[in-house]
Amino acid sequence: MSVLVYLNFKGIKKEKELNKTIRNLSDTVKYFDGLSRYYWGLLKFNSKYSGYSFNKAGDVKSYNITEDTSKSSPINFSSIFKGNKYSLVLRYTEIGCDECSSLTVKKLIKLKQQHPDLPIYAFVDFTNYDSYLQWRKVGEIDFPVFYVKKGAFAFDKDCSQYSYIFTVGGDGTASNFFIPNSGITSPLEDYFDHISEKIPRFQH
Amino acid sequence: MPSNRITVHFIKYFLFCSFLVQFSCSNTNIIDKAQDIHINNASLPDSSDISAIVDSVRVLRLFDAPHKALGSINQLYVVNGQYIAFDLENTKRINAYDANGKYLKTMMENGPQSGDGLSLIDCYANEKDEIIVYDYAQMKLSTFDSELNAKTAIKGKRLYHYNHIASLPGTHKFVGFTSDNLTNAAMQHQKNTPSSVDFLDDKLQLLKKEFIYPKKFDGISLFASPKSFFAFKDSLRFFRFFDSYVYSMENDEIERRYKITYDKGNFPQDFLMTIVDPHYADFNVGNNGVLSAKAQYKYFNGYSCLLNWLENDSLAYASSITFSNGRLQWMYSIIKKGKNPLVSTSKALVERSRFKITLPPFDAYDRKSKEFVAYTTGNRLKKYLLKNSQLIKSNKINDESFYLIAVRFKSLNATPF
Repeated sequence: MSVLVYLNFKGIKKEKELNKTIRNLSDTVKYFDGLSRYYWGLLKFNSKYSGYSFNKAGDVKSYNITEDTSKSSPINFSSIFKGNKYSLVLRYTEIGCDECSSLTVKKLIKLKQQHPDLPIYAFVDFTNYDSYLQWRKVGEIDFPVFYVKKGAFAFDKDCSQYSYIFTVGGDGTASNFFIPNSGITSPLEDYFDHISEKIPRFQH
Repeated sequence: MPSNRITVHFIKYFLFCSFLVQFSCSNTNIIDKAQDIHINNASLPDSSDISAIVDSVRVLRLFDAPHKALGSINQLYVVNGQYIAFDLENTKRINAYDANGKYLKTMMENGPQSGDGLSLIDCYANEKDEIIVYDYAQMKLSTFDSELNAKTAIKGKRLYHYNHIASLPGTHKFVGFTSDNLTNAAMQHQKNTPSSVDFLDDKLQLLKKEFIYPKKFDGISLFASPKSFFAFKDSLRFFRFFDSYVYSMENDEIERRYKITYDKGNFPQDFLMTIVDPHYADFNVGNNGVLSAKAQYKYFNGYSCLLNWLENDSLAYASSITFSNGRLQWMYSIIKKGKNPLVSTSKALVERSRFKITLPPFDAYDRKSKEFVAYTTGNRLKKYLLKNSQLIKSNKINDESFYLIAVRFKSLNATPF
């Protein structure tokens, strides 16, 4: 009987170890599956919209809510980028991953400190003025913020649940689309390194 | 080999039984001493002027420190003349301010430093003016004394999950409330008896389960109010969504203290069986918060329930909601306590005579100054102030800042209500 109990305990221990290994492997597979789906999504989003021309597209109704809090005077969208050699844009959506957008805002603020002349804009879809005020306060955002209705950008349709960033060249062409993910932060670092390297070329 | 299997089953059964013995829990009979409080919501006025019972109103700005601002306030407490605000929604930060609204310190926030939280979800001020901060992901309670100094940190061995945790007055025990008990019941090795309320010892080990409900409803996510506990003298008041009662907890006893009845839309006490069960598939949507919310708005339409409860010796304050065509209708009641409680309810409480302000919902009670305290943003405060209000000049209000509105009521015994 004691031998049987010993063997059973040994069996249970082995079974537990195997289950642990299976759980670890399963977690690893899930992680890499998530990673590959994220990269695939990024590639798809960027390749679909890179080269989109704001000059050719119909105008998007926007309001500079940093100055015009009552949203009384719509701004001609393409005029925002006029004269800029290179602009960086955050499209912020209220829903979705808070941590992802907050990491991106921190990066944008740091970039702005390194390159004070770089035009950075945020296009937000807040429906509540208080929420916007708190977002601006907590994020310590000091670049111009515009209101653009959700879905008004052509790109919104493929990325309505997450905030994203892109650049606009001197010819009004959008490129370098990127969707931040707080669970996988190294691509965000790479993205900003890449943007940072490009800026001096556009400024001089 | 078969004998092997039998032995394995025997051992597993033995271990299971020992867990049952170890965690066997009794379900206390809840004492019914409830006093009826009747809220007339059938003909709800847009506002009620409560000037006759208001003694004073103060407006106070909370001044944030750079890089430590709050993006919202979801829980507010007053401890020893200091204001404690928890931003659960945005920054997951708990800030303390002095009596003049000056920023004192960030008591806790989520972060990588030692002492930071991993997933702060609840904050509670007990009858000793201690602050208890609950870290959901670590099953950890950090207690601060009334001078806001860190006092103790207790980490439970098992990761039970609650919406709110409070300390039980006069004991070293805690009480946890959960609106969705999927993991707790499994970890308690009592899958068949999920509970909404658990009593925990000073090491956060399970002592007793209360408000046990049928297993089939385990894991169905339901709305929970931002607070469920309120320290009143030597007892702990407990209230929750969908329940008509305000309970009083003292040591091991639970007593139904008040029964809130609405003119229309009372949730049945067995609402899980009568409302949820007939639409079980719509509610049983796992962690999908959007689908769960949709089901609740759809099937709870027309029903009313309690959202927050505050109380002093002579007066109680209740905020309630009614599910109304996909939206929530709010109502606020001032209750004069006594043998026959008198209740005044409306969509907004207004002081029109001296201070000229629409009062935001109260969230905290200051035992020291006997004030009921509400919070709002500067932007909203401008809208709450009525014409010719001398409380604060509009041009002095910062839209982005948070403001507190502290109201002291007259002694209601001497005041007509």
